[in-house]
Amino acid sequence: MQTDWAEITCEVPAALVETLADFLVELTGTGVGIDNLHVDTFSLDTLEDTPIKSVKAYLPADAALEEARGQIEEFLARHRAEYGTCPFTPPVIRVVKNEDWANNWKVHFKPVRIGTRMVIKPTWEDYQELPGDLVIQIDPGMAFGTGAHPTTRMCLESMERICYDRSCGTFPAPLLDVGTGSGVLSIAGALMGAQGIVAVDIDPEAVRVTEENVELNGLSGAIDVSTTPLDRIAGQFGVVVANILAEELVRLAEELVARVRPGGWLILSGILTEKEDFVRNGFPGLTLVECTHEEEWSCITLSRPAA
Amino acid sequence: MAKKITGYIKLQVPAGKANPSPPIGPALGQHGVNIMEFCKAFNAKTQGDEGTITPVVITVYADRSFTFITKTPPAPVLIKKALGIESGSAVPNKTKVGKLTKDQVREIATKKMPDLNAASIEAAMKTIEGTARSMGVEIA
Repeated sequence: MQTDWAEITCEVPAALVETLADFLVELTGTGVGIDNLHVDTFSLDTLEDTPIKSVKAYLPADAALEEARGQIEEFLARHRAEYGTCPFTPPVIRVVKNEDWANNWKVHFKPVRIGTRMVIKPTWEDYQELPGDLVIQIDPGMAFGTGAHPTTRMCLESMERICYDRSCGTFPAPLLDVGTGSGVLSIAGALMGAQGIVAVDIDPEAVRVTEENVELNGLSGAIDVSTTPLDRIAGQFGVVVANILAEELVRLAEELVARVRPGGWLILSGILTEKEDFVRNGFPGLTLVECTHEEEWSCITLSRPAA
Repeated sequence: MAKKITGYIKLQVPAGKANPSPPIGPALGQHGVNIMEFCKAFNAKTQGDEGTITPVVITVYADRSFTFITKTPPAPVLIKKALGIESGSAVPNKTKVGKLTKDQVREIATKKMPDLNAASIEAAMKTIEGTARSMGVEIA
């Protein structure tokens, strides 16, 4: 078994980072970490660049470590003079337990119940289904998430209420999912019995991920996934769901409304609560059914009057 | 949909060879990111440049999903490549390991320009020259 690791942290002026990183990569034969920040923001533009950076390298915590430490200290001492008054501290070494990094992140993902019937679970988790459960399998990965995000949760809950509370258990087909992402809303619609599902996203990667997730859930052929622009989608839908951004929802308002058949429903999500009024005012011809809130997000469900 | 960002991670790792051991494992593990998914995507994106040290910036969202962008190789890597040398000098102020021409500096600066905080190509060249000197590389 691999021994534990020594994490070697060097704090240096930003201008020396690339040279130090290059030296450490040569010394360790692996890569380095330069920034690892826990943040809480919607935009990285708010992050300030710091004049001092910490560069982290890793070596096995064994007998050869002391020699490497000496070499790093020598490197830092050699470059100290170039940076005048900048503080140069000796490298800090801490032991990092060797662990199964390839799998340990999975503890963060457990089956999640959404609404009264839907359960989203990663493929590696066992889940004992209850009668009436609609189980969606999605593994976490790149940008699109698993569906547990508040904006997606509220869409799923609204779809469930439309199907089971307002339409006597029959999903008002067909379903149009605009900005499908991982495809979770379309998959949920299919499990609720929706027919003629069309899922679109401007990102081809989302289309690829959705196709994978559709297959993973045994729904191949049930969902038409593509990058087709909204204005090229023919026909009208019983439910249109769009989980994108407030500004985009309003920009697309005319096209979205045109896709809702008379008597149909439009679910709008991805809306920061502070922009709720902005979105509501952008859809004047429809009737407000409900507006739900979770954390800093709002989800608006509208209906189009029957003809 | 706008998602809250909870992690911002900068690494330099060999192209096409990402794996869950350090530095990737500890860096991404503490954010709960699907490490194998990142390694697969990074290796696929950097295919063809295997082994070249590649800076990558990973953005982690509140639901632990992530995106990443790769950047141009670090200046020392480009300098060594231009000179055909394996390493910088162990004693840069005394032992010189090579000499870059102005044209080579300009070429490297042009390549690095998208990732440097430089207002002009001349400013970018000055940054590259500084890095070169710290490696024991002279400028012709």
